[in-house]
This record gives sequence, C-alpha cells and structure tokens, in this order.
Amino acid sequence: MRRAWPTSYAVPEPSLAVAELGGIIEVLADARVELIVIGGLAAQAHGSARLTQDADFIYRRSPDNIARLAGALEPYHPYLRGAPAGLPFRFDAETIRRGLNFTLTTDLGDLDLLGEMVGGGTYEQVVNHTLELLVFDRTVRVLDLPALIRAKRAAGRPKDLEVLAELEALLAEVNR
Amino acid sequence: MARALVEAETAAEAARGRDAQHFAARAERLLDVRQMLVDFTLREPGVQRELTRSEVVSSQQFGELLTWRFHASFRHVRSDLDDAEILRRYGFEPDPVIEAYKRDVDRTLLRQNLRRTPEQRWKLLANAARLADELRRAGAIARGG
Repeated sequence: MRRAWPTSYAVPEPSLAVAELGGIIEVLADARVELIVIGGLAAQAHGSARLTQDADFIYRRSPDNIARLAGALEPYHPYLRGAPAGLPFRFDAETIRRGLNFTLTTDLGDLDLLGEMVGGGTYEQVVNHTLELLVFDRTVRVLDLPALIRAKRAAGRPKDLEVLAELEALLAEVNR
Repeated sequence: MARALVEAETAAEAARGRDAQHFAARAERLLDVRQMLVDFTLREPGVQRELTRSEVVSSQQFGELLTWRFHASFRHVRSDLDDAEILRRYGFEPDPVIEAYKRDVDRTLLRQNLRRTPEQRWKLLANAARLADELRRAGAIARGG
C-alpha cells in the first residue's frame, strides 16, 4: 500500500538529476545546445565506479547557444538552487549573458551549467579535448579523460584527490 | 638470493626499455619491507594477522614476501611503474599524494566498468541515483511521519 506524504513537513526534495539523465540529455541535445559533459558524469562515462549526484556541463557562450539553452530549459522551471523562493529570477538569455556559472534546480533535477570550469576553461578552450559519445540515441560531447585529470589537478582541491586517484588508475587501465 | 633477484629483474626491466632505476629503487624498498616483516613476525607472533586485518598489506602480498616468492611481488612493483609511464606519456608527473590514494582504488570495479559502453555506465548510475532518491524520500517520510 502506498503511504501518503505527511503534511507536517516540507515538500520532498527534487530528484537527483542523474536519475533522469536520459531526459536531460534528450532535452538539451534536441534543442541543439552546445555543451560538454564534465565532472562526475564525464568520469562515469570513462568508467569511474564512483557515484555522483552532480550533472555538470560547460555551455558555449555564443548568443545563439545561450538562447537555445534558455529556451530548452524554460519549460522545466529553472531556479537558483538553494535560493529562497519567490526571488525575481528568470533563467533567460539576458540572465545567462550577464552571469557565467549557474547552479540550478529544475523539474529535471539539479543542473550545474558553467560558462567556465575551474582548472579547465571555457567551452572553446576545451572542445578540442572532448569525445563525441552516442548515448540515449543522442550525440553528446564529453570531456576526455586526460583533460578531466588536467582540470582536477589544476583545481587543486583536496576533495578531488580520491577522484584523481581513480581517474589516473583508469587512464592506466585503458592504456595498458 | 634476493639481491641477485633484484639485479636480474632490474636488468630485465632495462631490456624492456622501462625505467629500470625507478624499478630498482622500489624493489630495494620491497626488500626492506620484507626484512621488516620477517623481524616483526619473529618478534610478535600476531603481527601478520594484525597487518592484514588493518589492510597495511594484503595476506597474499604478505605470503609472497615471507616465502620469497618475489616474482609475484615484483609484478605489483612493475604495475606501479607502468602507471607512472602512462601518466608521463600524457604530460603528467606522478604525484605522491595521488599515488597514495591510488592504492585504495579497486581496479576490479574499473575493469568491470570498462567492459561496458558509456551509455550502460550512465544507465547504471541513473539506476543507483533513483535508488538513492527512493531511500532519501523513505528516510524523509520516516523522520517526518
């Protein structure tokens, strides 16, 4: 028997974006948004065994692409993650143009959309270090393994040490 | 006996075109560790059980070291060397801190994942995330209800 939500506490948190990954990829790819999968999702694509909750992308900051990105996500109510409800925030082309990196919550789950990644750079700076993968019947650009390692090393964050160890082990495994 | 073996293995590494000097240094350390283990084991009978329990060294490695089956242990040394060579090929210098973390990486999981396609890997991740979501919601209900 299905249990009803109790009324005494807040609405449940939105689903993790990676749980709806197929849907996210479809929405963004079908709108021809130019982006690159980075972070934990890219690591997973390369064979990482670590679970990630983050769906991180670098998007191209050209006017056309910004318009496509805003249009693609509009039906899914993008809002600043962690911000109080009711702020006059609209994830439209103007907002994207004025900002750079956005941590969003959407009906599809939480998304991090970066104009520039720590230790990596912009879309144009890393696009030559990507692989095109066919997933969920869509072609998706994913940061390649050496570029992912380079970015994590450059970022120099202690929390990345375990991740780096696994990525470097992966690099060795695929080259052995 | 062990020194002769190290010299022979080092020469073999050089013949394979690998970094024999690095290999020899690591092999020497392996001998030191072996000697330390022998000393400890003779002095403290429970030391082997304690070391393997605390995962300082696997029971298999311990056995190889104590029984002079150095060829098996050298395979471990050689595998580390290959990692360093591969990293250098991509322009990375091995970082001792990352190398220390790397010892805890379960490569059997990585090899299993590498046999899958990227889409299969993402689908598995999505399934795991859905399970985590369900558990999170169930936990929230339990706490609030």
